Amino acid sequence: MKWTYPVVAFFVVLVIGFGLVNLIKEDLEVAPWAEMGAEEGRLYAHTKNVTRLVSANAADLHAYLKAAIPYPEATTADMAPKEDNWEVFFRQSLKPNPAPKHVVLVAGGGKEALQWALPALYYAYYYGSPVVFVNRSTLSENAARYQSLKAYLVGPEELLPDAAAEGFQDRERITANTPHELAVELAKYRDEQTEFGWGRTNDRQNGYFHYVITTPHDVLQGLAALPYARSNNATLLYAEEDGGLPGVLDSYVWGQRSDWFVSPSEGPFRHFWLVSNRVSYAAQSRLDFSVEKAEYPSMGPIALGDMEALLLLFVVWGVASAIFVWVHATYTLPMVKMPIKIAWGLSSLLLPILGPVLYLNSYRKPTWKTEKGEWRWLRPHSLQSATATAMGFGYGATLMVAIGFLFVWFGFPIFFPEWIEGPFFWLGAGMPIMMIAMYVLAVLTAWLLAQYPMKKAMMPNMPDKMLYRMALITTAISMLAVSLGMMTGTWYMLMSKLPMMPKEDDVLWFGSVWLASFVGFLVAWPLNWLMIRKKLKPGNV
Amino acid sequence: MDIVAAIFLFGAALVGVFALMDLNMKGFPPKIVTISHVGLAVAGYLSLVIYAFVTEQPEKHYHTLVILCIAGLIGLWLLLSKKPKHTIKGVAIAYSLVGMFGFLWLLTFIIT
Amino acid sequence: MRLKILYILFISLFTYSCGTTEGGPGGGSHPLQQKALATAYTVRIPGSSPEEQAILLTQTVYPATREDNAVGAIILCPQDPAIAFTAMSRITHMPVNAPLLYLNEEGQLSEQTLREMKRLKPDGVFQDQRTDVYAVNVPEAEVQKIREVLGYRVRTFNEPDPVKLAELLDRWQAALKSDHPDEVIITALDHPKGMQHGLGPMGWNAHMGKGFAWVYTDSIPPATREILKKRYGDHSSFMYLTGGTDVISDKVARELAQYGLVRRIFGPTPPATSAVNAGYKDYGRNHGWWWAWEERMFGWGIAQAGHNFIIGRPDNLLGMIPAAVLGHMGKHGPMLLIEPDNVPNEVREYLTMVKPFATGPQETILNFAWIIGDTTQVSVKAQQTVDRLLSPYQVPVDTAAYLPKADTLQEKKE
Repeated sequence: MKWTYPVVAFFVVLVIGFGLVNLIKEDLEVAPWAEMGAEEGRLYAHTKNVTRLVSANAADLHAYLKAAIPYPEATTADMAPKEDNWEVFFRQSLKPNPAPKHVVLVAGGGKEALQWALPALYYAYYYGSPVVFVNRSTLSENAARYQSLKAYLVGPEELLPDAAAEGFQDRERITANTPHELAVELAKYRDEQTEFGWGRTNDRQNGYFHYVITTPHDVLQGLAALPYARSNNATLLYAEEDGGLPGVLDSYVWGQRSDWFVSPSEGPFRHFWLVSNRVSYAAQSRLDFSVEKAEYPSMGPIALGDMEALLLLFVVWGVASAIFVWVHATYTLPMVKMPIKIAWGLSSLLLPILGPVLYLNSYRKPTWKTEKGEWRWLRPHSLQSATATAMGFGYGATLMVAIGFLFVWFGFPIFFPEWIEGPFFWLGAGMPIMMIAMYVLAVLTAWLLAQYPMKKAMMPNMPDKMLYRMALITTAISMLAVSLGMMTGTWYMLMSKLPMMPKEDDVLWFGSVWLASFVGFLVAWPLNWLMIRKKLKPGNV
Repeated sequence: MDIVAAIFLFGAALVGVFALMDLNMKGFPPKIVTISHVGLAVAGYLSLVIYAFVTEQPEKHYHTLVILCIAGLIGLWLLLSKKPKHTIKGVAIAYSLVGMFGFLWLLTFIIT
Repeated sequence: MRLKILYILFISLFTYSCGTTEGGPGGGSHPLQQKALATAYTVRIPGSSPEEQAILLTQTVYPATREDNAVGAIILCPQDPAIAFTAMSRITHMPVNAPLLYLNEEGQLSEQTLREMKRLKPDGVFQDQRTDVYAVNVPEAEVQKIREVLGYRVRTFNEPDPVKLAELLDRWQAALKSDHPDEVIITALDHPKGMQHGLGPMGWNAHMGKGFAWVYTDSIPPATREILKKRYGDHSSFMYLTGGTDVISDKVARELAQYGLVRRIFGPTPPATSAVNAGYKDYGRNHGWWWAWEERMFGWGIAQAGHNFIIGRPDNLLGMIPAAVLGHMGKHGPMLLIEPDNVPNEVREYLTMVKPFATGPQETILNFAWIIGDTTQVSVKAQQTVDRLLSPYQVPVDTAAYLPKADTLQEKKE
């Protein structure tokens, strides 16, 4: 009967391991279905958090927005923006702030200069900052007026030499390796003294942030969309020319996902305006998803919520604990029987830190050998109960988690015929059915494949029938104790604490059952104390 | 074909667990266990390679092939190495972790 | 001024539509893109038929490029407002996460809808046997088609009587969530404007997943009594009647009171009810023990800036019902009902109350609205009026609508 233990262990590792690997895989994927027809048959390009303005060119977009955003505060110059007139276009569009506290210096000239300047121009347009264009070290004529203000040099040294800002008393350069990075930099930057920068950092949880997205190639469309900087206080960000999102933008927008506490109708809401036709549907969908409001504990898929992070650590420590116990047992405890080692390993999987601590304590004790040549350890009563608990818990609880996962994976069966209505309607409900099934199936498996053979090995002289009965009773009772903690813990976490019940590919599902199992162990431990006292279970193996 | 590969690899993993148990307890696994593990694993890997060539699906399981290749190299080292048992034990655990991860990674693509 | 704007809009729409073929990847191959007029604070979802409207909505909410932004399941039902209304009320919300699609007018699954169902790739509801499609009163042949062509797992609800359908769905939801929500929306089935008054609260259900039951203007059907009896404890339902005494009579309200607390969400017209609903909030005790207590929480209760709205016409029921999915994901806003060419006073005043304003030196609170239907449903002018009302700017909106309904002075009376 020796094959049964590894098979149970294999089943458990296979199912739980599959769940965890699946979790990793789904979080690493970006848009796996983008090439599989996700865009087929779309009637228009807008999605819930991304409005996509399809235009032939900047002039087209400019004309469209002239009509669509008629507010005097957000109107731009009447001429369409072009590569050779963008400075004039901007100057004519700007509504100057009567009392500015900073001045913005950007490089003037060709398209490349515009690519570096546009993110700063968006803020300047919003605030009404005076903008000085620097063309080959010559400053536009308005420069002298603002020399007492703090100057922000936005862009790289090559385009915008330090020398240009010599006349300004106080100056600071903001630049990055690429326009994409610079745009994100400016989105985050804020100086309260000079009132420069959007200040949209990850920890701003309550701002209504809108963003205009274009690519450096389509920078003129970005300039044409300037009204949004005012009407929707939009920040400009750049996507890649090939339609994708650069890493810096991707990580930034995920940090912009806002959470909800009571209901997702609470603000803030964030939105993207896509003005470049180059941005792919996959990137659009990712942007759309990145700012979709999510409940605070999990922050939704992909993004990492606070509670999710804590529980993830819990699970990771569990896996590390199991590996540690297995490696340690391989090297140092050849005299411990395999079923017991497996039980310790599996227990540690669900008992991060506590598992290895109990395991180490249990075996750092004086030993003796029985007449049959088996090793025993001299342990205090509490450690004996811990060992006895681990023997049942290792197989039972991990089986329950594995079976629970299979239920979530394949879906709960539910029943709602008319006759079941009344005080016992919950017998047809998914969660109770899953919990009952978890318990029954785990007890049956653990009883037949682990506890019975274990008892048999310990008491070879007892009649089989009695062994079966004894194994069933002890398994059922100790698992009941585990379940008491585990099921209430699971119910509390999944149905009550978390506003949304997590799915099988959610860290919170694993985290919740892990935590619940831990509680289950703590509940079962005292019960095993009694079982040891009554000599129903051995505690010194 | 990828399903066939998964079945082979499942067999290899199951046999591998028994080998790991043997290594954990007293000694090296019996020859028959080693041979069937290697046989199943190689058959699984080859079916996966064949799948990558013949399939018209976009997913060709390249990452699985790479992960399993790493596992295979460690496995090969285990087969040929004359190092003391002490070292073998540790490498075998590392091997099982990599191999299992590769197999599970493949499963996540097949069972969805 | 208005004419000028319209004129510019027309020309720009024209040039705009000329240019779309040039679009790069992800660019302009979308047939309705030009009709989906976007202003600073509104975007139009320009459906010209209920089927198309429903498809546009699923495309808006679900990009479907990965499991997490695809649907949990899909609701499919015939173009019958009462059936769609019941289904949207009870099925849409999490954990199901299902938008609604329609059969065509002949009661069959059109190619367009079938393709959209394929695109949506439902994940399946794990609390319900991984069901992918909820087919409500869908002919068996069409259900079979879904199973065979798409390989989706379908759960069928066949109950032509909306009252009994609500009871069936209540039982199903209880099994799904192991709970009967104690807040129950009550809408009149036989009143011609019953559903129009109910649209706003129905949107709350799609957003929050509470209970729903039908009554008649003057009586309570037995199936509805069944639903109310099932709530936990005696007198423990919280019932929200949608509409005034002309829609659901006082007699019915008094009879309902034996099952718990009765409240009304109502205004004199459906748009007025929708405005009341957007601002409506009821919260407080539901039941509790020392270690766990449940509060009741009903209604959007939006009385400040920084929210989003779903705007359309009350008589476009088949278009507005699936639009409740916009309250379920993305912008999560209540429905506001307007006239085709005009924003009624009550809605106008409501939007003025929640008008945003500039806050910090580098930000503004923003409102946003979806406009449901093409220009035959809601005119460009009405969309622009909404845009101005939502804007943080003090621009004059068309004030003619503030005139109370009285005889026109300029017409000579005999």
